[in-house]
Amino acid sequence: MIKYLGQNWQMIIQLTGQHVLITAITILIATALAVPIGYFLAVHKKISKILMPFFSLIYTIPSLAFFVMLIPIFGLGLLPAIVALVAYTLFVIIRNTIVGYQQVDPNVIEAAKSLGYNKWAIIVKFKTLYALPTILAGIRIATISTIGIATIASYINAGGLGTMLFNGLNQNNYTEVVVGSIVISLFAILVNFGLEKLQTLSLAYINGTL
Amino acid sequence: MDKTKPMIQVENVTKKFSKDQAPSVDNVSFTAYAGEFVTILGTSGSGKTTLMKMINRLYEPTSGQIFVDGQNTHAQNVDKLRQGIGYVIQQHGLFEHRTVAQNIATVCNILKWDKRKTQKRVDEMLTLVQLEPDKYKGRHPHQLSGGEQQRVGIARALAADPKILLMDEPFGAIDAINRTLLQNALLNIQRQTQKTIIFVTHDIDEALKLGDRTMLIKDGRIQQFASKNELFLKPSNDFVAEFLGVKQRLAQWRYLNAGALVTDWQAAQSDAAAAVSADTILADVIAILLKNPERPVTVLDKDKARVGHIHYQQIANLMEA
Repeated sequence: MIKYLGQNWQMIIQLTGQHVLITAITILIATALAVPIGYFLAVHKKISKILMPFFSLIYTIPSLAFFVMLIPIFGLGLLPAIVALVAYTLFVIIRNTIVGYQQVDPNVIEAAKSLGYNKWAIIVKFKTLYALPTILAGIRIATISTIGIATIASYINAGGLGTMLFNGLNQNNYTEVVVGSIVISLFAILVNFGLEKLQTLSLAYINGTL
Repeated sequence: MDKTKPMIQVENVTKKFSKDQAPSVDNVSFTAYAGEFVTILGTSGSGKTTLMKMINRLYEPTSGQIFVDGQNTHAQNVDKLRQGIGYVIQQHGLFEHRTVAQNIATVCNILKWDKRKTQKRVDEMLTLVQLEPDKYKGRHPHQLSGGEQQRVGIARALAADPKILLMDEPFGAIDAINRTLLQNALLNIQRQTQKTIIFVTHDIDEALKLGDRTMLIKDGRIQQFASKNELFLKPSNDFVAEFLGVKQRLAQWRYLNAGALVTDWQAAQSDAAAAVSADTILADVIAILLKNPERPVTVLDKDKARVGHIHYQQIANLMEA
């Protein structure tokens, strides 16, 4: 295994870089879409009741089937992978965003209004701030599942650490499979730890206990 | 301060939250004068909070107009309007992520005050609400008691020196002892700062103790808006009489002023000899009368330079009523 690492460390770093990139792009796009959508749906509960089952439905499609389904539209590679991964993660982040905004204490918002903050300041400085720990929890779950599902995306040539698993399996190279699995797991555990810390910090900040 | 200058004018204001429901506030008009302490008293669902929240436009009236300091509130920028009106709620509404000093400085910071001026103002405000500045400035709201949180809430509302202070059952969640302390502190602040205060409560004692005038409201309509003496002596309808009547027997002696009972006023020197002054509570007058029922108690009204008398029979009549 040491020998394998010595020979292939450049490839492992490259694939890890791809994996990080796929995950980062997915989460950035998904968050940028899901937070405004979640804010809107938290306010408009009727529309939420119509739209949420739709996002939930996407979430239930098996990932490999979804990737393959997108090939006729987007071809192979990074693009269909990102599209599918964003579609998956939307549900989790939107759901948490809705809950986060709905949990904000209306008294505090009324106080902020009464002091003369404008509409945007209230959304950004208060509503979003107080919803942040719950939104971050959603982002954390979404990121971990993206790291996992992105592994499968290697099957449609999206790159990433999944490549090692599929190659290893095809060539009966179990060292490659084991190393690949370990690197993916370490990556997921590390990211989970980091985001959990961030979540705890944000909670402590809004409670004034930092 | 000139207590004849209108500060808040509410004109034919109605608020309906939905078309098929009865209005929460039904064609209400009243004027609160500069420096006046007005309490709005009513049961829950009476429309008292709705009425107050229309003053700083947390609710928009369905019809009617409200003028603050002579200006139509509807024609003003809503954020600017609110920056000039202090607002205190029951659940304190303090920002947990900010320190006491930052909370109090909120409006100063929105208005981009100079830092040193803001810091000085924070200290002044803490002193005003009887909290030691150096001890409390750096704390977070969760490190304060309920009473202290309300004090900081008042300090925050007053920091940018608004002319008006709106208070929505601010002491409703405070225990009886601390509530009395806060009420006294508020009366003190009112005397020092001469704010126009609108104070919503469902507590009769609180409304009568604090208010220069008390507005009794039911089903979105003003039943009576008058001083406590007038409310007890000349209730405008059965509802008012009944609402206050629950505690009337007891309350009369504590709330009625000696002056309210005098019928034989005569002009006199403002330093004329007298047993009691006109603002003495009736309970004290009764105590004197009971010692010597034959002798009427002399009452001196310094402001109007007149004296009058209260006879034992008057008290007896009041008791029978």
